[in-house]
Amino acid sequence: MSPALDAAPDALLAQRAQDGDDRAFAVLVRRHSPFLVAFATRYMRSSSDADDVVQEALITAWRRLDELREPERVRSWLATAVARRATDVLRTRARRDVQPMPEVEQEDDRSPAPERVAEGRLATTALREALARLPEDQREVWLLREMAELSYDEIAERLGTSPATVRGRLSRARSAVLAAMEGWR
Amino acid sequence: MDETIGDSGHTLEQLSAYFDAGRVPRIAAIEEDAECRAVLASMERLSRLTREMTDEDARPVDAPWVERVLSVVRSEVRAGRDLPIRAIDERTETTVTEGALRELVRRAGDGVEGVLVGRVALRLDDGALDVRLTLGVRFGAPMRTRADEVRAAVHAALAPHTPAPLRQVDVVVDDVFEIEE
Repeated sequence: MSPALDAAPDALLAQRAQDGDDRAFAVLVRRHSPFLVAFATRYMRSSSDADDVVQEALITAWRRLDELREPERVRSWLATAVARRATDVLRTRARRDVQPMPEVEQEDDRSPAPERVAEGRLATTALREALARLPEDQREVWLLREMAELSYDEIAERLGTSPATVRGRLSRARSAVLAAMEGWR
Repeated sequence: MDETIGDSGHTLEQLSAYFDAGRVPRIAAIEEDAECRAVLASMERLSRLTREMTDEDARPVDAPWVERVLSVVRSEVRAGRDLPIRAIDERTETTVTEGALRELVRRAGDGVEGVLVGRVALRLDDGALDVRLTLGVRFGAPMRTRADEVRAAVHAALAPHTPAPLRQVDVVVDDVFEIEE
């Protein structure tokens, strides 16, 4: 028996998807969507549009698969597509809405799984709070680097800025988060 | 200028960039300074904590969610170029798409134990068809034997459908993977 496609590494699946294999793309969608929705939720500070944003980004990604240069990094590449779509949605919403965005994060209304309410959960909660307090430009860079695992060059391209600016923002973000997390060392 | 950390002569920004570069090439002034090492360790802990946070945030998506994406994807499967199959007579024309040929190659290759086909390249040249495919092989499977089996399987599956005589099937093993189950 051949290994199931479900067991294949990302790079192989991404290459097949680039060749037009929709079954391989389906495996990537199932494998990475939970992460992508979590990323979109954090990136947009809200879970309300995250599902739509990820679904639309995945469809766009399918159409643009020939632009994927490093198949083994398909997860980061998909996260970039999600970030692009999320930015568009946030801009549209900012133009449309008279009301400012709520300051409070909305995603924590989902009840945590009981087994996670422990030391680890407290530390990640502290991290969520520290991130929420960052200035928007630092928070964005931090999520693209630490969550989506993009390089400085890739982040700079996504944000239309320079790698040096990315480097500075990330350093300030780390400094602030490290200070806020002092008690969690 | 920003203040430097410990006796390293390096700023936090430089440390941060060094961390993201995977601490290579090694900078002795940083690695030999205890304060710098402590900051790097903190950055490492933050990265780990971010991965934990991400895992906590991740929620499985349900089947209808996935289907909404895949129904669009399937309706837009890219077939690639049309390749004419040798006509039996002058009045008819039959074509086969690159996409269909690639799918034949993938199915034939996947049928061999312990392997999965990756990329498939087709080249029509001087009236003959060359196929080049990459292969992922399950850890522990005999590579050469499997590659030969794939070559034979692809030949058998493709020959009746090719637009031109099948000349060469090149197999490149470019991935070895473990089955996580």
